[in-house]
Amino acid sequence: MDIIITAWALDSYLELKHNRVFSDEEYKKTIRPDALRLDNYPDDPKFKNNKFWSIATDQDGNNIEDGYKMKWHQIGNGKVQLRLTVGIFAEAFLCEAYVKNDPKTEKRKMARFKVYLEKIRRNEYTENGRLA
Amino acid sequence: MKTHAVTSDKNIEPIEIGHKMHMAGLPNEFVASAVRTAFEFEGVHDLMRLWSEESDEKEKNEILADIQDMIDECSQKEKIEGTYIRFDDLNEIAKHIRSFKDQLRLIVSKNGGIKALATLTGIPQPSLSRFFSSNTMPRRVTLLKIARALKLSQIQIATEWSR
Repeated sequence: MDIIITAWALDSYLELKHNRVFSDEEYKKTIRPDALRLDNYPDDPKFKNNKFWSIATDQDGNNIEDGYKMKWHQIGNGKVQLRLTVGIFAEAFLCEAYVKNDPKTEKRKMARFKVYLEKIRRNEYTENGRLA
Repeated sequence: MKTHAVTSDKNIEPIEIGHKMHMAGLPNEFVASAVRTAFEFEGVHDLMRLWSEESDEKEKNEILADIQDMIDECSQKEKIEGTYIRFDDLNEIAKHIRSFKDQLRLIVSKNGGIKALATLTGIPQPSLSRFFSSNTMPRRVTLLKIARALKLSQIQIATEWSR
């Protein structure tokens, strides 16, 4: 499956990197290789681990169609929980990476994710490359 | 791909929340755009509901900034092939963006500050604050609104890293 880097993902990386949420080494040794597993979605066994991969849910607890979250625990010096929202269609779309701080942030991020998914369905998004 | 529209029975709620936003003193242009976008995008409807149910002022402001972000996103009506950027170049790009936004922020300060800019552009203050404090690529639509409001030239809002 091709892995598309959207402008939303790029923007969120810019913000997280500037704020030093994760190191270059963590990106290269953990985050990037994990994102590359989407190339073998859903066969890679890590997608069966719900501490790493789960269906996204909205503020009412409903599943978000086509929406998933990739999860890392204890990332960076601040040992934060990092999330990457991913839209799964014929291709995998990396949408937005963020630090899971509290339930309120999570609800806002999920609402934003719904918009991103709809923009992908409508073919109204910006592609900034493919992860390979 | 099958697109998702907000169902008709949900259509009344954004109007009601839009009225609350208007009563809270939010710019008319913003409220109208939020309601219009919420009709089409369930995610924006969700954000409006979060704003309506939230009591903490700081969190309400974050939600407003998110709504404005999504209004701007939804103004894009086609797929764009953006520039391919390597991870190793992100630091350099972030520095350029920071420097550009800091310079623009100085111009805004000389013209009455963020509050005055919010009035002139119709963009809520929390959204402008996020725009200047974040290191994300500025959207051209926001830059154009700022330029029009402050009568800036194209050169003053020109940056390689906008989208």
